[in-house]
Amino acid sequence: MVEEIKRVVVGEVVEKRPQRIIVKVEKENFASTLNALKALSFNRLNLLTAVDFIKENQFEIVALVYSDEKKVMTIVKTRIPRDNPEIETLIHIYPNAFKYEVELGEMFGIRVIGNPDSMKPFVLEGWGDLPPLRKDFDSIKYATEHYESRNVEVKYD
Amino acid sequence: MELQETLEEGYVEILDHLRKRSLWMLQYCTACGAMEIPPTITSRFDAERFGIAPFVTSRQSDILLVTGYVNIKTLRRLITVYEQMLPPKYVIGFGSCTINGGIYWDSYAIVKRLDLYLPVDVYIAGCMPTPMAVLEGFRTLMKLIDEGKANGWKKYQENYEYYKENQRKVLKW
Ligand code: SF4
Repeated sequence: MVEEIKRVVVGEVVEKRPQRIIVKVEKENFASTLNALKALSFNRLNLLTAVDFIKENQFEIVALVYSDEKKVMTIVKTRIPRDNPEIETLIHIYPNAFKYEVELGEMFGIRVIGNPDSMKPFVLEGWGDLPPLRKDFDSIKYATEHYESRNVEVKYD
Repeated sequence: MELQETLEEGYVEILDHLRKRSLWMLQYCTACGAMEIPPTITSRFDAERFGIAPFVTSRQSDILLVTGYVNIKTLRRLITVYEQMLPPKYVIGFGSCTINGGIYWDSYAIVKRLDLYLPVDVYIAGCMPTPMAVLEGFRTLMKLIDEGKANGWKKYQENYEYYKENQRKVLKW
């Protein structure tokens, strides 16, 4: 499987275990890599999400694709800058990427080019703060400021 | 005049007494606590022997059962559903998340106290409450109705501005 992937992919291919292959590509090749993988029987997108590497000032976009035929999971990663982050949409390759991409916009502030619902609120209606899954967002502070808590003494008997 | 008042009071008392025996419940199952509803209403614990049955529309239900955490998206729907229900209506807060935020106390999306936004008549504590605790909560509600103390819906009408202001604060209406 690794050999086949190496043949079609421009980027670093690492075989972690026989069933876990990691592919690191440039941002421009992200969609084309997934397109090539889909042709290699990776027909299922299991997850599309981002990781915030705040020290390096980068987001890592991670896509997990699975091949039902070969029982192999491939993890495709790419790094994008943290300021003004943008990626290309995957909905024409994997239609179920749609809601994942909406979530990228809402939770990380990553604009997805080509997705009509990108940056529209889905869960957080009326949100006016930093996107909540960024590392510099302070959840406890936000919760204490916005939602009133109950002042009770807990008694144990 | 006095006689009429006495009669009216008696009438309400009789109504309350009958009402507590037939409560239809609308479950707002948006959270993990909803897992305990199937055993409660099916044959093992059988909530229907108390006259409590699940129902599907908000217009004809008496109890709004909020099973667990309420986030800002669901709170908006919850308020709409509550305002659609016809009085007398009762709200049961189910699980510690509705009481003080539970394990989601530090979450950016979960409101911590339900009673700021809706008038809660009975809280059932626990994460998640067992079917026995749920039935105990139902029985408490029945007792309160019988005694004429479950007046959350009146409180909501009288303090409408207070509730609306609290709702506006989190929902940015
Ligand atoms: S109280 Fe526990 S079971 Fe209920 S919604 Fe909260 S976390 Fe889930």
